[in-house]
Amino acid sequence: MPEAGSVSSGTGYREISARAIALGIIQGIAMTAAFTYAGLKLGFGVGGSSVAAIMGLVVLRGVFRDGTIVENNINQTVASGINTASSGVVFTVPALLLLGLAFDPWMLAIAAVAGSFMGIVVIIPLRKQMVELDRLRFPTGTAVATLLKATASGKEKAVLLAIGGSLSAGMVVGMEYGFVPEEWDVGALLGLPPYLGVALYLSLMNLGAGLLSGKGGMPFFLGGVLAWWFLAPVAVTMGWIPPETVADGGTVDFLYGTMFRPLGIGILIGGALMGVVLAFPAIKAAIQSLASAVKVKQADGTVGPADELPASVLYVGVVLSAVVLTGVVWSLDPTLGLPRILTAGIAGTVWIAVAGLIVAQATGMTDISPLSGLALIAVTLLLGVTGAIGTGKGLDDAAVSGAVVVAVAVGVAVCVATSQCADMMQDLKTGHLVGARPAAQQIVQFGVAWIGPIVAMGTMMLLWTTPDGSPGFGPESAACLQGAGDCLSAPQAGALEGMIRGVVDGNAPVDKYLAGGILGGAVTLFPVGGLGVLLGLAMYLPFSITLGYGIGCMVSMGLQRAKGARWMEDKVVPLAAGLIVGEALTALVFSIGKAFG
Amino acid sequence: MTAIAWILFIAGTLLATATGAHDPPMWVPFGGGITLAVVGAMLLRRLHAANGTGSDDDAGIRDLSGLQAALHDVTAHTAALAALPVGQPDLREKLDALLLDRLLPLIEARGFLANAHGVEAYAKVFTPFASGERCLNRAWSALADENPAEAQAQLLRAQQHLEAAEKGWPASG
Repeated sequence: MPEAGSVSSGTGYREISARAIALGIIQGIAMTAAFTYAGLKLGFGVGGSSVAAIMGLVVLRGVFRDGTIVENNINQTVASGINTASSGVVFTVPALLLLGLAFDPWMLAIAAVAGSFMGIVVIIPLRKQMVELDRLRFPTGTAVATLLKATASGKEKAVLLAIGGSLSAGMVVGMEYGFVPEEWDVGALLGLPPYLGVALYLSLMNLGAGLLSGKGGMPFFLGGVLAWWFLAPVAVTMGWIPPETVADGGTVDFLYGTMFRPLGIGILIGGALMGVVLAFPAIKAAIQSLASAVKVKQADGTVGPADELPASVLYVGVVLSAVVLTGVVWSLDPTLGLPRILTAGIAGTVWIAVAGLIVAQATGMTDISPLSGLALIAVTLLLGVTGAIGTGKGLDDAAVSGAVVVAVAVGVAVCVATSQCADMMQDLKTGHLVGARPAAQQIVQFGVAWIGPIVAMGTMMLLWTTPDGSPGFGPESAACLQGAGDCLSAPQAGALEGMIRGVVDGNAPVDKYLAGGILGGAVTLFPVGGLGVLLGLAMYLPFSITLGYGIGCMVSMGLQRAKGARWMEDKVVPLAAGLIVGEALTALVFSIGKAFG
Repeated sequence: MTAIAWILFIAGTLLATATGAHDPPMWVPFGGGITLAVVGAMLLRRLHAANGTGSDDDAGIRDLSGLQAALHDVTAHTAALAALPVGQPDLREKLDALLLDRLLPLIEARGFLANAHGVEAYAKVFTPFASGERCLNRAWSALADENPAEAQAQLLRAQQHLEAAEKGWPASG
């Protein structure tokens, strides 16, 4: 019989339980605070799903002895659903502090919470499309499912999982203590010019993601090849790099920062939008199947809860999000005027939906989510909507500074929403593989979605407010200027701060975004799903990541051809899952150690 | 024709990428590159559909009729497992075999349907199919958690979803 405080099917199979939710919330809050601190210090976020799944194995199955696989899945869904907000907040909000602009932190927290809920809402139809129809791999989601099932999958798979985890953990330890470099500069070894970017990021997690993606991930690798082995030599040979940049040794930075990255962002957006157009009949059918979702008849004849959330949740959620975002914009800067306030709220909501689609495709195919790039576009878009671009007035102007606060507030909502999308899609893939009810995962995620943004905002504001009144973080903070160990340089927000200054001065690479958008739409017509998104993502990221991932894809394709699909499921999936989980766990331990040590 | 389509697509993509990345973009050759890429991609889409390709591996399903037969086979085997008495000792091994030896090849070959009948027809079959697959996965988890009653219930539900997938198969296919 199900325990009090638990929700199970009619056969007593426990899924949602008070203990799973409580464990997830405790882990989620602890990880959010830690990741906020680590994000300000190190500039990157860490996924919490695999950590929570292991804690679930220890507590639910080890201590309580009767935890189920789908119950542990609820625990990891809750924990990662909370901590995922830390990246969204850390990458954006500190930019306002670094710019020295006054703002109401509560309004930004409300924007973050709205973004968090919107992130869950937009994946309702995307789950049908990407998990069930496109069957994207979602490497971390697959790895966590392998972990959840590990105790019952047989000794051989458990051993392969452990081998993968050990190899990956050993690599991270080696990097931390300087025995292994983070990047292997193969190009220098072969005497190749640096602009070809032939360096290998020695991450076994990256390799594992490639192994799990196989043939489906190859366009991502080819996108990197297109940028660095075709476009870079063409640009250098044709003299497209300014001579003073070449003389200063800035060729690679120019190629990456001025040519590839903005074009890549445009390709990502154009590719995602064309993908929606092409897949519209399937998306329509998926939404219709949600609309016709009925309550499920159980073995004992009683009617149980439906497996899917109804489509009405999607519609209501989108409208509510638009209303809340519009309210936040109005509250932060009522002088904008009603037309601009309404446009900002609606544009922010539409962009969250588009960005959610992009990030879901990107994580599904490669495990990589371009959060900061999507937040950057959101801020640029909102600065345009609020009329703050190229006015000739600086940030000292009240109208411009008010518009910047509004733009960053919407940027916070977008960044939290997209990180929530990325995490939720991975969780729903895990859920599909272990047989969880999607509605159960989505309902608990709705219940806790507000916690992460509040904890992350609170942690960040506490860290900013130093006893002597000096700024708590940023490159100009006393700790960073003195090179002290407690320096929190907030690198991602620092980059956003620089971008905002450039955009306000009228330096946004809008022409590259436009060209990329058209190109992304065109290549997505190719009969391989998601080509535009993968090419764009490859241009947006350093080639060292793409190269390592591509090697994983090619090894996977070779093994699949030689050994077949079943061998891949039996051997390669657990090994690759171990590579992903091992690095995530070890990196988490080191990043928390660094942050607090 | 296939070679021409590939050449158009690749040449167009390379031209558009190079001229689009130029600072500032060179719009005239960029437009030419986009045109070539679009024409190449559309030709490839047409050829792809005409050839009916859609299998990711050498799993034995060679065409659309093979895919339909495989779906029927998975449904029949699921029904057979659902009909077994609750608590059948080797049910998990049988379910493993169903998932890996029958379901997996079907999934690998799913592209035949989308290429032949379009994404809407594909969605009508593979939406209930995916629900059935999730029920089979839940049955596996329930067996691992020693809850045979839940496993049995999920096998019955999987059977219903897979039968719905069979009913959704396009009439001309």
